[in-house]
Amino acid sequence: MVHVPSLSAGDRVVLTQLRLAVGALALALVGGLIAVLHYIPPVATVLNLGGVHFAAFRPIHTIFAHAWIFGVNLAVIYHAIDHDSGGLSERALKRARLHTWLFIVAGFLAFATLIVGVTSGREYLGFIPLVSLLFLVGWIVFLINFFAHMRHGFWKRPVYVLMWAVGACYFTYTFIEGHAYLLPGLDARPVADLQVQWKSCGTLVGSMNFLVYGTLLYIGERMSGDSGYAQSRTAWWLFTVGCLNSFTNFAHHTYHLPQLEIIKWIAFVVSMLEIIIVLRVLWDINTMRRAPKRELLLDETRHWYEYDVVGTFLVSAKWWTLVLVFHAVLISIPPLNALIHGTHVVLGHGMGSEIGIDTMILLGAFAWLLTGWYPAQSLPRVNNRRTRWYAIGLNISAAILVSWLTLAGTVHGIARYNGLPHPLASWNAVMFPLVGTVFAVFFVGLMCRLAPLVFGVEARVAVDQTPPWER
Amino acid sequence: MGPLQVPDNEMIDFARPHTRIGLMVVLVCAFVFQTVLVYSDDTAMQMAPLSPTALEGRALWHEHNCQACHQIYGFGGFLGPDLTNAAGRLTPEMMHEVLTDGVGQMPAFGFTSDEIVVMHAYLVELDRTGTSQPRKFANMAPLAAVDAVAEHAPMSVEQLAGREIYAATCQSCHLLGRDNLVGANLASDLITSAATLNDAELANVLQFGRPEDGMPGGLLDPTQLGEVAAFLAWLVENQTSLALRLTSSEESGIPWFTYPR
Repeated sequence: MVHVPSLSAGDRVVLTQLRLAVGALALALVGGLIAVLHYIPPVATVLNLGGVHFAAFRPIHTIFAHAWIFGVNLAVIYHAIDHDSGGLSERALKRARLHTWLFIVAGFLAFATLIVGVTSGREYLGFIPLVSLLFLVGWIVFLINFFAHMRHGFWKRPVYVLMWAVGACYFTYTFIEGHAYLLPGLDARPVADLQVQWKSCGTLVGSMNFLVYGTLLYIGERMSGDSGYAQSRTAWWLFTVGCLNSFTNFAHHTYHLPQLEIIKWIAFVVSMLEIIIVLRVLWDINTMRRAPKRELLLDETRHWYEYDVVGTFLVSAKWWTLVLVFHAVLISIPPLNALIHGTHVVLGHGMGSEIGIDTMILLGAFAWLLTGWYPAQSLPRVNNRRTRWYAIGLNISAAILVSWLTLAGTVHGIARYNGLPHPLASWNAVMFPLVGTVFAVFFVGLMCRLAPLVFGVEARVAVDQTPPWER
Repeated sequence: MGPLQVPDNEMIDFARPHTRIGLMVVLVCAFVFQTVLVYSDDTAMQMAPLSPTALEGRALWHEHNCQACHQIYGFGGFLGPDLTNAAGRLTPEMMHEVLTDGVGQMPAFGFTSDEIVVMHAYLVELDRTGTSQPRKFANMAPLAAVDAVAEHAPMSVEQLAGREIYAATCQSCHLLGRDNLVGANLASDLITSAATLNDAELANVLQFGRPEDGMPGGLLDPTQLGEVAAFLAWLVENQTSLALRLTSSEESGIPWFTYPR
């Protein structure tokens, strides 16, 4: 076995982020599986008696699912810095090591405290403030690294650089704002606390999405070799609409709380602007379907994305974006929002977005990064029929999961409005765990094919091959 | 110049640096404007803060991560019900049972009596802040609520007869969904009583009354006793649906921004 000689220090930073992301994903899947089993009453009884509580594993699932999303994004950003922005300096490498260790310690502490039932009791930020502090310090160190490399000619860079910058800075603000409950005056006023909490939670997701969309545009540019889109008017207008939404539409989470009506009206009107994104994605899908077939790297007779797993993920993300943004527009209409608020429709939308859009894009990025480190002989493990079937199975099971949650939640909302009990409650106790488990099986199967590659990069046989981004 | 940067002569008008800076300034201003609106809005801050007792209950709520399963104003986990207005439908006895022994998928937290008191105080004060869910019905009279629920959960002939007896005989003292002060005596909420007493105790009360509490006995013949017992059993079986109707005002459409109390 010959060690691959071409791994730079920057590559190692990227690999570390990917490996941590895989670890976080594993914890998220396990946490989610254990949590969803609590929907089955007899199983919940046994789990509760064994000290395995939903109240511990639900936050473990959400926290580490977000850690997966952040981890892959950081990997892509560091890849961009290392390969396209002059490389990582020695100081930057030290900063990267520092923030990585801070994230690891914070993650370990979050897991350990949640397992034993020590929690802040908050949505999304269910860990204790000490964990928040460690993570925040690490994030600021990352921000310093990012701007140290990107600040030169910042305003001339492609739109995805600004997306990453906005996402990273915005996340810093929303993360801090999410801890406003520590202020005594706010915690004593539950309604005011919810107003601020859901301003923070909504915008936190928005900031995370900016990192993901930036990743998507970067990967797309590198794969296609076309740098025009990321500088185009269309990209900037879509960025503007997305940014306006993230910055101002958070009050669609809190329509029903007592607050100034103008806040709600701004949120409603801006939320409806997402129709522009729906129309644009429809246009893109139509264009994509009409595009001439491209020659595949391995097999010239196939459609360009048939065995190209990266393409499969990115195309999936496009369809999910169409469906879920339309879904978001619908549930931002106040009367519909009133009906479904506090039901599984919200869960379906949240999971759908983070799986269907974010995770599909990041799986595409994950696979794309892998194809750059491995020689051509190893590509079939990624661009492979079996891997593609896992990807398709993942999409189908996720679609069933989201559809079921939307159906169950809608029925619940209508029944609730009419003062009736939830007619699908007993069905949900079976369907949610069942479909959730099937989804997890496909996800584990897929990662069993991809994850070993990220842990075996250094030990591959070296073959002289130019990575795709240098072609 | 690296691949991430575009030469000046290829810059698209919209994407020149000063245009982008201007765009970001406008977007940030929009964010600042919306944020200032939120933080300067006194509507929620004008509500009375939680009492020290309720604040202790809220601390318990966070400590046990109740929001992982339950919701407040629709925010939280979906495994358990929304508890914003739970104080209106849970008696202290029911809360005691749930918080000590658990129910369904809810584990037995084993709360102490003091902890139950502060948690109850928190939920009572939370209930006063508003309504978390939109409802079609509002402030229904007991029989109107019974008839509305019966459209979806029909009563048997015996239960219907029991309903008539309740309307003619019991309703003057006993309400549904809350206790009623009758002179110097407190006539208990019938749903709670029916849920709490076993069959033998219920039969005894229906037949002999509770003279010490002001309830006369001997009002019902044996057939009527069975019919009233059947009606009470129907009330217990449909208590959740009844509770939702007994606490709101008049029928309303799907709300836009505000959920009627």
